Amino acid sequence: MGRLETVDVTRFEQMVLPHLDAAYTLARYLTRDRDDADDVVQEAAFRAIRYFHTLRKDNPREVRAWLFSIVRRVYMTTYADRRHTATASVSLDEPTLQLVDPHEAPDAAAEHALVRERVQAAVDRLPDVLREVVVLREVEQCSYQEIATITSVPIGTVMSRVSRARARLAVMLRGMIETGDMQ
Amino acid sequence: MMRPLSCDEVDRWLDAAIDDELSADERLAVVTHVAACARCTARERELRGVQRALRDGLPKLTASPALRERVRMHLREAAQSTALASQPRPSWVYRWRVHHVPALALAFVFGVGLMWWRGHGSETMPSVASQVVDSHIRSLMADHLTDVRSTDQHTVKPWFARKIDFAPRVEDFSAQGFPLVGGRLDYVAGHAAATLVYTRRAHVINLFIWPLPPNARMTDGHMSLKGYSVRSWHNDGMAYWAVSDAASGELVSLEALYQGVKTP
Repeated sequence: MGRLETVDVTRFEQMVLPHLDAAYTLARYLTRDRDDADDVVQEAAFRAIRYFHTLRKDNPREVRAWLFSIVRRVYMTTYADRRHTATASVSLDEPTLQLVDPHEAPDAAAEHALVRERVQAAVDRLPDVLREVVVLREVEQCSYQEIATITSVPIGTVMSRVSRARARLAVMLRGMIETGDMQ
Repeated sequence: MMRPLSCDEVDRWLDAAIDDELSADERLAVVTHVAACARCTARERELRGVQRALRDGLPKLTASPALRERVRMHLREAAQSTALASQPRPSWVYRWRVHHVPALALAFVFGVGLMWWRGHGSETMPSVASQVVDSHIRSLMADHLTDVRSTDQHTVKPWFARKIDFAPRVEDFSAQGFPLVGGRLDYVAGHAAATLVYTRRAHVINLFIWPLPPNARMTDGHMSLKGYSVRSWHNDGMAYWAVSDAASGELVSLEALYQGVKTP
């Protein structure tokens, strides 16, 4: 028998499980699919359980970053290569925006839903390395340093990926985003 | 105070400024430039608009209760199996009897199988299984999954031919949902093994292949160890050991593919 460390169930429940929703959020935006996100998170959680004894951090932000890094590795090693092209072409061609009849005077809620649809469709079309930066930055509010740690790249690379992602989204969403100074 | 910045420099720093990732000096230099430059002012507004749209348009999501429960169940099982492994034998027999009557039946089947294997003096399933599981875990932890990374069986097979003195059958089952990722060499249970790496949805499957020694007998079987499924079979004088944390049914499917595909 190989040596196996005992899993501290209570400690795992207190430190890692609170980040399961965040892990799912990341996986869902990466995979763009409910079932695939379930699979990725399950595999990542199983790995987290197995390697939990190697985790030397107890700050919640760092534990969350550790879990994110496992999620993205599971995604990148098993899904990224073969799925991107197909999914991207689907979201490019599909008229997903016709949820609201353009001739009707749209009320605020419908317009809001429309904007959300378009933002999500635009993010779906980003390549993996830009999409993950957008989700980590704008949804999970990670710092550049955290993103650098999670994605194993230098902080300068994070900076340029954030710029490239926003520049592309600005083009895709042109005419729709509020450019006035609202704050 | 920093020197004045050009528009190009501001372009490179604007996102970091918006994200509050600049030092006080850098930030001041950017703000000073933007205040005096209509082009960069428009650019900053646009980027802030994109950021607002993203924060508003990408909600945080929630893991389903079913997923959460699967993780919790796996956690309890992992804790139990490690506790069992580190306890003296009578105690774990007792705990199994108390908590897991079905598991006891399974243990009985393995026990009989174990005696049978020992009686025939060949490789016992638990000892080999334990070694292939360890090798599987090492391959995932060290991030050293493949020596040759290719989804093409015609690349992987010649690669093995240069390294080992037997020719493993290499098949890509992408069409059946088991894409081949690559291969590597391992040394397991006293054998040089050709290891093929497959994926099944988010799961990695390692398939270890080595020639059965002359006169060795091997009984095909299935067991689960440390939360992994292990399945072994033999065919044409070769031993096959598949390991994964995928459901055991997936390994049965992989075996069926191997047993069903005849090489010319």
